[in-house]
Amino acid sequence: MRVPAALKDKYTRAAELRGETFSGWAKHVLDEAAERQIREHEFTVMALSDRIRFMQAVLHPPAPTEASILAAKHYKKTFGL
Amino acid sequence: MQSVTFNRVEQLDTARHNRDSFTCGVPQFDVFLRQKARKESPDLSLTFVLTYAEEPGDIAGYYSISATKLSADELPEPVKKKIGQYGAIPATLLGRLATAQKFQRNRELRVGELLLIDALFRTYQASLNVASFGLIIDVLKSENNDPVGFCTKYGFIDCSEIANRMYLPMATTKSILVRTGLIEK
Repeated sequence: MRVPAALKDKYTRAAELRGETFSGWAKHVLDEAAERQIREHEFTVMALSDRIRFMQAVLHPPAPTEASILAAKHYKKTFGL
Repeated sequence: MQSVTFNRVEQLDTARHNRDSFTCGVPQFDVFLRQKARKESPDLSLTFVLTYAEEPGDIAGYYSISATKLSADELPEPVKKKIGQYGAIPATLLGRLATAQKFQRNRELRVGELLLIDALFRTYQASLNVASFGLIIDVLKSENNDPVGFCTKYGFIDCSEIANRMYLPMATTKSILVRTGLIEK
């Protein structure tokens, strides 16, 4: 991997702190960053209170609204189901 | 608009569906359809479109969904028990739902409703294979559009902390589909 000399010094120092070579360190750091990014992407961030509310609704689901029933009937009719 | 015969909602096919002519009044949603909504888009979402027989390439509306998870951290024990094997709360994210401008004022065709019910239908069916506790929707407000009112009408519950995020439990979705005979009990 090509990096500017000034940065390479810094990276090499960081690598040494972890007892790694520059390229080994770079590989690990990239891998950690990738894992983190993918994990964050897969998660939808929601506050604790909202996650609790969400689960309460899962455990005690509200009855469908009148409008949702009418919409589903409209869907059924439109597509001849 | 003359008579319209809708085709069943299907996955976006860039070879057949004309994305460039789609305008819904919210630029981000038009751009998304143009640029990102490929079959294998980088954000792993799937895009479904509503078309009609009279002009098969024309998109009347679309929505995109993806699988997501909510963290189980700090949740009370009884709730954690329900999540059990999953380790996190699996859910479905309805990232976007948009109706083409020329269909927006037509109260008979109700394109937004057709898209929403299709999204419910599809996420319910998918949840039989891959667990999903409910649908989460991020609504985008604009001048001529109040999605919060739209979603509330169909039973979506407001998040208290995050404005414009709403959710609908899968069991409620199932009730809607069962009560109208779209699925069997």
